[in-house]
Amino acid sequence: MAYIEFKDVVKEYKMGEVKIKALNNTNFEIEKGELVVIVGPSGAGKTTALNILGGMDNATSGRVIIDNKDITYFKEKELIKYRREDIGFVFQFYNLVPNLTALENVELATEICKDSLNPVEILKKVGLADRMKNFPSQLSGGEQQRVAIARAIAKNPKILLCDEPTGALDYNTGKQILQLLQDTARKEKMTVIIITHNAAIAPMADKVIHFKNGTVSSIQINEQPKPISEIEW
Amino acid sequence: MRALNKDSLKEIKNSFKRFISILLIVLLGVGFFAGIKATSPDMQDTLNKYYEDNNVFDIEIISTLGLTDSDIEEIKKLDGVEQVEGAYSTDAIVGIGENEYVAKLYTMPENINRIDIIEGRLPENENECVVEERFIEGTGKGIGDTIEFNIEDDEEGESILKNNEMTIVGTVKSPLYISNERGSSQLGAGKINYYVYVPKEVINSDIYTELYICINSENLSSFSNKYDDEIEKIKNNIEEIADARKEARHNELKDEANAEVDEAQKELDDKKAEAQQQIDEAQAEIDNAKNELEDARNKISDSESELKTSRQKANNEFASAENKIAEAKSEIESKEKDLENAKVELSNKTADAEAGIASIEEGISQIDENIVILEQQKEQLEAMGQDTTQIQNAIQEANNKKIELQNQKNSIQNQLDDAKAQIESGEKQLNDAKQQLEEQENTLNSEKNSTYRQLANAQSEIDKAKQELVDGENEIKEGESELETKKQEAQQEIDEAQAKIDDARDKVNEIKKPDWYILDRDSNTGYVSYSQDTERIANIGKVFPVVFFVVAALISLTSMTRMVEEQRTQIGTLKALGYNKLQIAGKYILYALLATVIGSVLGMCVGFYTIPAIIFDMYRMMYDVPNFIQEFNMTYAIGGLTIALLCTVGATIYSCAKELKSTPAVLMRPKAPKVGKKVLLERIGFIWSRLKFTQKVTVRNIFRYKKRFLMTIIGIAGCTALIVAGFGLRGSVGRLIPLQYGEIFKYDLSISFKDEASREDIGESFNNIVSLDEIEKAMKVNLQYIDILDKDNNNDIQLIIPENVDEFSKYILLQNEKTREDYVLNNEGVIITQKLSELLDINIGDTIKIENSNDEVAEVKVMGITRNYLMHYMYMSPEFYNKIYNENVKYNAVYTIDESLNEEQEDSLGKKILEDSNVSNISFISVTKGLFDDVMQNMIFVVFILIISAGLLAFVVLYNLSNVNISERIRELATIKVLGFYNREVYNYVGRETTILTIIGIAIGLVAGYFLNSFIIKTCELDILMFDATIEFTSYLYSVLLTVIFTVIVNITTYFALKKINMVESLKSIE
Repeated sequence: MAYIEFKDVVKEYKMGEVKIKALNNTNFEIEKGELVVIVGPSGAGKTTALNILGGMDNATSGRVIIDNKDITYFKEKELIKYRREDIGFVFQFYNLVPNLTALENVELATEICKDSLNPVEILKKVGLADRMKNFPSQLSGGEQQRVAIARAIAKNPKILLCDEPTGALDYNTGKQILQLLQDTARKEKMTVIIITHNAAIAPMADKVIHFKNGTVSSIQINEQPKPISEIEW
Repeated sequence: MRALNKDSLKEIKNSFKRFISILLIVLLGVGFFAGIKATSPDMQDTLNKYYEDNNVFDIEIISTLGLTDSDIEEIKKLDGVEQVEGAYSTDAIVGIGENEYVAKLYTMPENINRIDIIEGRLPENENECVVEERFIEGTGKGIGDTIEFNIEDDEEGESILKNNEMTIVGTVKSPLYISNERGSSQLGAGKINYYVYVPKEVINSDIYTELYICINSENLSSFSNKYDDEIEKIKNNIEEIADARKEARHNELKDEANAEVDEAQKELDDKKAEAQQQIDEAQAEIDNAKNELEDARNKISDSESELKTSRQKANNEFASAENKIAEAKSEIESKEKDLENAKVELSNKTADAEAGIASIEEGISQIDENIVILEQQKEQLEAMGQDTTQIQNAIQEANNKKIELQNQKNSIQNQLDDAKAQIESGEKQLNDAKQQLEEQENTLNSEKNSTYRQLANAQSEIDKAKQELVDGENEIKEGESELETKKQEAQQEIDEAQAKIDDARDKVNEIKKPDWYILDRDSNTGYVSYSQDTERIANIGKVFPVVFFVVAALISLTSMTRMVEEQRTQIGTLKALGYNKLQIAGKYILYALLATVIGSVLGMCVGFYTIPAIIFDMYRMMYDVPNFIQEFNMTYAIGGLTIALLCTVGATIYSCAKELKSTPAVLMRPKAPKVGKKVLLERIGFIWSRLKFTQKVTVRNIFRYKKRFLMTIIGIAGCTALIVAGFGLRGSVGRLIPLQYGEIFKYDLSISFKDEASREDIGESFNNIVSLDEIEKAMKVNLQYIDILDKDNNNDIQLIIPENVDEFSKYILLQNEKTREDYVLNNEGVIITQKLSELLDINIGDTIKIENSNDEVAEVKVMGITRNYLMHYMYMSPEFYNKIYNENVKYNAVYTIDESLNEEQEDSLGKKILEDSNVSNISFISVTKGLFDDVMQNMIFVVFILIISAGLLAFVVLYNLSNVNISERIRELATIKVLGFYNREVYNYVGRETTILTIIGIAIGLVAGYFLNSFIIKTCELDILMFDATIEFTSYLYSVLLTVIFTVIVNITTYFALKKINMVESLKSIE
């Protein structure tokens, strides 16, 4: 059994009288420790899949199983617990708390987790040993995203979900961030799922899931994922 | 409509909560501002209208010698004076059952100070009167009942009222008494209880005690400066003619008095003459009597000599009469002898006669026989027919012879009979004479008796007359001495009367010129306290709304800043499109303007028409002013709106200004996140390091948003302060009576005696009272109203002199207001109450001049200032009173401490005590306490107003805080939700800030509440009251609890608002 299983997942939104199916019979599986890239154009349903994976939303039907746990019909509280303990989230716009230093932003996450990692160690790992006491406004975009990744990793989650992590970053910084994510997946044996519209970064992944029109159009497995440095776009 | 304006209106719909919070706080601020501000003018208008309707005087003149119609005429001529009316007033005692009440009697007004009929009708004749409503309530008398007025006669001994009994025909309300204060009196307990109106005609006087003047002051508020100026002007005019009027009155009175004295002198002279005449008459009478007596004496001696002659005469007469009788007797005796002789002769003659008779009779009988023979012969002859002549002759002859014999016999017989008859008649004569003599003798004797008796009588009469004479002489002597004493008495009386007249003449010369007191409405205690109260409210109106306006400004600032920040891109776009700053700012200004104007108008509507009514309703407890006038006060409407606009629009412009300076390019880029900063606390390592992570976050956040910090703290502090003040006020008012009548006045019952009761009467009554079972102990006191002369005092001050200063602390607590040390009265000086010392600025050690109820003045030192909460008192020892006034205190009241009694027992005790005719009044402390419940009811109302306004304040502030927090930090909050914060943790993440701000706000609010309470109490306090401004711990506790409850309610809504935040917000791009 796969680590993450998406089976016939349907997600419907009611927009007044009209029902919109954001996800339609979506199926995929992700193994533990895999680095997965989910690509697709806007409106293909990838963000909806991310929301369901991240425990921010429930599927309308189908099954979502994570590490042998069926989270499909989790109650709100169970979902929070799931997000708290099993998910690390990296946002496009970092979403750091501006009033907290880099270290404090990481601590904000570790405070609520049982098996959290040492925030200082993590920040060192992401290369911010010197910037720990800086506030987000004093950091560059890349540095902020590193803090955000550190915040996500520090929780020691089962899955690291990244929503367009490079979307707000310039090319080189974006590369560095992706490198960091790839390294994290490899070194920490963490399941990392990156959602992006940029198909160019697909070769870095172990598995690439293509979304189109609310469902998975194809799944491609890279036997030899490329290091980021080799990828150009 | 321009697109931009449309946008502004749509914005309202989109951010309705924000709009509402601005609107609400403006509503509160303007509502309170308008309401409280308008109360004072509304109250003034109400009184003005009432005074205008009833044509209440503007100026009042009182003269020490009364005022006359000619005074009225003269004053009428003055400039500005419109109406003048004279009135007569006097104080009277009305006894009802056991109680005595002091009533102020007024003559029915004609035009000035018109009274309103509440029930019944106005008096129509001299036997009717009308009373105030409280009279009916207080005395139990009703319309139709008759009451009797007891008024001392005037100086000339004439009764003031034509009739003292009058029937109540109605209840009225006088505009002269708008407060519960009725003023003081010389009578009874020294306080006027009720006012009564009587017809003018019932007053036995043609002068007036006061003149009321209405000036020409149309539409001039009595509270305006212009009115004061006008009054001052007219008062000066009156002052100018006052001297002449006083002189005239003085002369008039003098002339009147002189005339009266002259009259008296004349009367005395007449009386003198009359007395002299009477004396003369008496003397003449005495002289007459003497003359009469002399006459009597002469008469008596005359009578005596007359009597003597009479006696002599009588003696003589009787002696001759007796002689005569004796002569007659001897004559009779000789006659008797003669008779005896005659008798003897007779008897001799009789025998002779009888013998003769017998021979005659023999002759006769022979003749008769011859005759018979002759007859027979004759018959025979006749029978023989012979001639008988011879025989006949012979018979004839025989018959002749017989007649002759018969005659002889008869003559003898006659002779005998004659002799016998002669003897008999002689006998008879003799007897007659004897009898006559006897009779004469008897007559003589009886005459003798009667004459002697008469003489004796005459003698005794003379003796009596003599006695009478002596008596008469004595009488005359007495009469003479009596006359003498009468003469002396009369002289004395005349002398006395003369002295009196002389005195009176002196007094007339001593008649002082009258003093005129020219007063205005400020002499009316009700008016004065009413106008002071309106000022007090105006003062409160100055502070109260401030907190609301400050919070309104802060709320506008935070809301509008947030709104402008949110719409940076839009502003940038508009700028790029070519709109100028003003046009762009216009949108936000319009938004704020609308919220403010709508809020203000609503606030005014609520404020102008509810708050003045509520406040006035509370003042109704103290003032009897009808028909409260509430109006939309334009001045305060514009004022309130202006302040509100300054706060909100000002804040809006301030918020826009910064953003509008930026270029469109800058604006269209996301705003650089607010720079995180270390707060001061982080530099204090040992505290910071001890804080938990979340606490650190909270501290940072608190200091990150200073406006919000300020707004929340001020809002919460305001909320707490208002509640503290509310409870504090209630406590202060509520404690007043328990403190005064529990802690200070410890006696249970005060009994006052009638003025006329003597010291002995009171002593006896006191003993009776003490001996009652219900009374534990009692003490005599003297109560009188005094005045402090060297200070500007218009308060009633009661002097209390206890009989026993050592025991007095069991009845009334005398205690230093600051150190709480107990005082004992001594001979050094007086103790006054705290509020009095504050009002008149008297300190311990000061010397003040006091005037007692007999108008005697003395200087006393103030040795202490005692704790006291209601009314003003002065205490001194009886020895000290004696020392300063040189007279012994007459105790006129008794304080008692009772065994614990229930209401019924108190009633029966009261009745028992009132049976004593010396007792004029009793009052149980428990009853006074009971009266206070109503006041407390009203205070609860005040507390509610304050709590509700406080609650609204808290809600608006916290609601706004929560809105701004959520809208500004939505990404942050969505993010931590994604991070897996439980709802509670998410709430705490924001709520902890609110909690800390609330705690700080409460702490500040408790302090602010203390000061607010003190301020309100100081501004609201009446002159006769002193509230204990200390706030009870429970008041603070309740305030904290209520604030916390308000906070919790808002926080619960915040909790659900937070719960609703969609995590997808975290994924959105930054605008």
